[in-house]
Amino acid sequence: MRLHLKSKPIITGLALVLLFSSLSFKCSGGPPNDPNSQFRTAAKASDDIAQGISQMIDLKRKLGQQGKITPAEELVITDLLLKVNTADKLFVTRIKAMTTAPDANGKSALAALFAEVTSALAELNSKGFLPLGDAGAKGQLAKLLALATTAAQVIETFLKP
Amino acid sequence: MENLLALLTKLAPLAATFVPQAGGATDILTAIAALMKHISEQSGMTTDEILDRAGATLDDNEKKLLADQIRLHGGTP
Repeated sequence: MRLHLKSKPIITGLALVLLFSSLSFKCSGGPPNDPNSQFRTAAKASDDIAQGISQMIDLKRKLGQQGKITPAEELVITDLLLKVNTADKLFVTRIKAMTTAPDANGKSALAALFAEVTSALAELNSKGFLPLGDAGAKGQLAKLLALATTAAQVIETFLKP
Repeated sequence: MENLLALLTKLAPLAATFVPQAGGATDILTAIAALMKHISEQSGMTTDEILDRAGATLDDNEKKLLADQIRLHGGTP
């Protein structure tokens, strides 16, 4: 089977997501006697999303300086990144406020809060990245978004009843 | 692993100097290396420490994004 040129970026993206996921699961064990280990998966994934946003900020700034995205495009991405950031911040605040492992109601409340994060990530892709004129810029930002989305899927698994 | 990620982060900008066409690839490589380093650091941290770091990163992100909004609307920062 020969690889078509257009499939290479997709394969690269998938390989990166796989690498990211495997590394994330490999690092799942925390120090012994961690009192809040029941929140660990959600905490790790929310930290991954926060760092993913940080990398996307740096990258979109660089792309803006290089003229690969217009100021109008950068402004849309900035607004949408702020929306994801605010949603993740609320999620982290809620986890921090919990003192015991969430029961069914607690998980349901966390899931509702986290739905805001996934919704904001989807909006960032559809309204921020997909309309970009420069295919290279679109591909780079989309790769980082794929990593953040993988982290989001880890949280969703944790929140399942 | 730490050494490999550190090496990757240092080599990426150098690659852009010698191979100008690799600019985009090195940017994304640097970003991914930084992300993976961040994840690998979690293994030695307690859950509270991870949450504190996430909170600090999110606060920092917010400052940067608000500054960018001002800049892109024609303001100073």
